[in-house]
Amino acid sequence: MMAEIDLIPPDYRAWLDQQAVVKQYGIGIAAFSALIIIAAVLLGQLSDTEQSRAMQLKSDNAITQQQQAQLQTLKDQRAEYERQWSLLRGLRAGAAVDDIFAIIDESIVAGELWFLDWSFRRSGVIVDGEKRGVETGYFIIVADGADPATGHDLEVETHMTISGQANDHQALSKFVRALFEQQDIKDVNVQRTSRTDYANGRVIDFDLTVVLNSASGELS
Amino acid sequence: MSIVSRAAALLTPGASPTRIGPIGIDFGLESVHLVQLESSAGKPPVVRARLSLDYDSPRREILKNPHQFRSMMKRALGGDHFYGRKAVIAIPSGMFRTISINYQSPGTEEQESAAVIRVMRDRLDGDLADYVLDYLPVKSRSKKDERLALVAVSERQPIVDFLELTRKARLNVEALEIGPVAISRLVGAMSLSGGSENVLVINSGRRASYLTVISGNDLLFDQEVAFGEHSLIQHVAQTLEMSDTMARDLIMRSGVRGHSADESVAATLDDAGFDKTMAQILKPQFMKLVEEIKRVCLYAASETRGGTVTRVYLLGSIARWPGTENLLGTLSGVQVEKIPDPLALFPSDEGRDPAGQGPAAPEIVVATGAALRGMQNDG
Repeated sequence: MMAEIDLIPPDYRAWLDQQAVVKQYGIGIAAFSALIIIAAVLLGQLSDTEQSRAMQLKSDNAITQQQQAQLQTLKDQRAEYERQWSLLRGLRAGAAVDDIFAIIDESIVAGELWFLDWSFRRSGVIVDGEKRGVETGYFIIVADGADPATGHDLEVETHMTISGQANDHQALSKFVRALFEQQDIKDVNVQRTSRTDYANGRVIDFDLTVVLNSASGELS
Repeated sequence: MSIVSRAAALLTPGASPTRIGPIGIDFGLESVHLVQLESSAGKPPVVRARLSLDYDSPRREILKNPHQFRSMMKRALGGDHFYGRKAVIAIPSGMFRTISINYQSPGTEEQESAAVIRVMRDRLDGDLADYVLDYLPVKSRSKKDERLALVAVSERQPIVDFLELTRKARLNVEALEIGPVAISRLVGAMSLSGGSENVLVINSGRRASYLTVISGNDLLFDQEVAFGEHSLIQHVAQTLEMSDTMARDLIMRSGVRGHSADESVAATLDDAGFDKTMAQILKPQFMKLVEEIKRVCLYAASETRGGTVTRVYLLGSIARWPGTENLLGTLSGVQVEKIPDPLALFPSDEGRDPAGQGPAAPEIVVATGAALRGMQNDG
């Protein structure tokens, strides 16, 4: 093989080689940068997608919470309505007036005690919430966190306030005891007694309150 | 080779891929010539692409204008199936000169380079750093320590400017060589089967011609002689009292000996004996070249221990004149012939005619020789 002649100056060739190396590095760096940029763009897009998904999930969660809040409100409303409904039913329930008078009439000893006035009231009474040993009324349980006014249990009580006169305290006492013995009577409270003198004799004025048992069987 | 067959060759286990050589580029006086060869393992190189493109403006202007140069190269590379930008470029004539030197044979290659540089320092004006040089050691046929080398020299700055021009045209210049070396490479490839014969190549130009002696594969000698087409045309014009253009046209038509029989004008001229007249007019001028040829033949004989020049190839502008090789052969007594079609040595694959250009002109010899650089080991 024959020898060759090459008139490219060695330093120029070295410079060209350096340029080629720089160019290669430049292309490499440019390619790497492009790769990084593409990766960044892809990751950015992925991040945006995930972010939008997270936003969607958060939005869904917010909707769920709102629905839960609405459900809770509806539950509260239902509980309130049920409480009011129970109260209303309680108020509507209980012994009939005729029966009450029949019960009281059974306890009166004729000629010894008579009524001057009476009133009848049926209402809800706030109690401590503990069920007593003996079922005495209708209880409504109110949820925690509700209005303090509605935070207590209500018992429907039927009161009959009686004002009257008795020949003496023995007759009054007999009457009260007889009332106590009636199953439908829950409590009897003598509110006041006083003596009134008349020309032909002395009578005892009294005010008493009879608390009747609620008709729990009917209310529940 | 088609794309499908190329892909199939690449995918076939054990198959060697096609090797595509550099683009050989020669900036001639009127045209730029490009040749690219390719070869498969075990097969001789074939022509992949070749193109000759005429300059739009004088070569001197193009080589000074990067924009024009880039545009021209873009057109040239797009004119055929050239692959890549790797190129072996033959430096335009005028940008270099060759000097034959004798130096004392040292031991190592580094010492040999140092010896050549020492000799060249004495032969060149100014600082040696202002020059670019490379040399070809010629096989020693002497028993003495004295060696012969052919040194190619060029001023550094024009070479760097030229390289910058090619770089800006996005050419990857693998080597910058000289025409005689490319010619000797091609002639060496032509005569591979013929052994180590001595061949003289006459490359004629407008104002000067170059005589290159090749011994086997070695470039033995290269010399510039003051013999060019321009002076010959001027001589004819003065003798016949006509313009240079007319004289050139007349020579191209009549030649200096013989003509093409199917040309009626040439036949008329032949009847009038114009070819013989032209030969008589030009004979004294050609004798100057013949003297140089004889001198070179003697030099070759002395350097090759009596080996004679067995073949003279003529190429360049004067080679286009009809009958020049006959005239030179008659005058010198040596067989002179136009250099064969250089591409005939590398037939196109599957009979493909690159760019459909038909037979190659002798001017494409340098580009082909440059394209052959690095391809010879493949077959």
